[in-house]
Amino acid sequence: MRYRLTNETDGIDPERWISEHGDVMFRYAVVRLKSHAVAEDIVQETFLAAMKAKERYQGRSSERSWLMGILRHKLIDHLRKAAREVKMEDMESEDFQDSLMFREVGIPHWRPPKWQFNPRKVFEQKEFWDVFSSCLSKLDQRMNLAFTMKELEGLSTEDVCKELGVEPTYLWVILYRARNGLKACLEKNWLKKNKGVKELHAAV
Amino acid sequence: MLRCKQVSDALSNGKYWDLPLRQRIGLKMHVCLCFVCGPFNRFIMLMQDTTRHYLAHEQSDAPPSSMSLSDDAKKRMASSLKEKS
Repeated sequence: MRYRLTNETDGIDPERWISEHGDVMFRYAVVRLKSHAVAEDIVQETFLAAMKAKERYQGRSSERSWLMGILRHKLIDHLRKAAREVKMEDMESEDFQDSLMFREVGIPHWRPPKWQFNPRKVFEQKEFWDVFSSCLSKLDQRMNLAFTMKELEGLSTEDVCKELGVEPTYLWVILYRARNGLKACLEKNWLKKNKGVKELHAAV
Repeated sequence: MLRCKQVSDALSNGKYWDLPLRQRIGLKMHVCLCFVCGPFNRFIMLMQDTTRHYLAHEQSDAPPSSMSLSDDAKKRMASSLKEKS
């Protein structure tokens, strides 16, 4: 499917861009940047860059993908700068880092934290992803940075370690904490939300 | 047969779904059968899988109002873009 970039008068129509893609782009940015103001600026910069580069848009990908591509580049630049400013070593180390288990098997404990519900069973529910995005944005800034660069943007371990100035083992610890924090937040908020829905159904 | 450390390292360096098929099969077999690293690495794989699904939804689902641009922000943005176009 091809998208028109321009309106009937062949001028750029920023209002259409904003109404069609603004919210999705804003959520993408706010989850990764944690700040509504910075996210708004980055989305606006993206639209400006897109206006300047509109001749280069060939219509091979959807307009959404094209805009998201520009947004992603701007966002990664911003994250790299933020990573250089944040002090990761302030975070306490974990006991398991020197354990035999961690050195030899690469895991901190025999048993992982238990889930109170099975996330795979709710993958089809849009509300679950709303909770997921809000939990991502609630992570501590350092965890959010590491998780965003490594897990959401897919940068390599070497690249993320270089940007954050940490060793791979330490990155592992940060990601472990981020995953635990995410899991705890998902459980708390998803179960709370579901309980409300169940009570509503019971009342009806 | 893969060793536990190789499985843990593969999962910490890359995402399960990005690995080549052959490596994925070996890795999946290991975590299904291994009583040492299996339970923990299954947790890592579940988190990676959840994140992968989130990324697919993120660009197509409409965000909740708490994560959308406010009407004021949209107006501000539109007038600023019009000025510069």
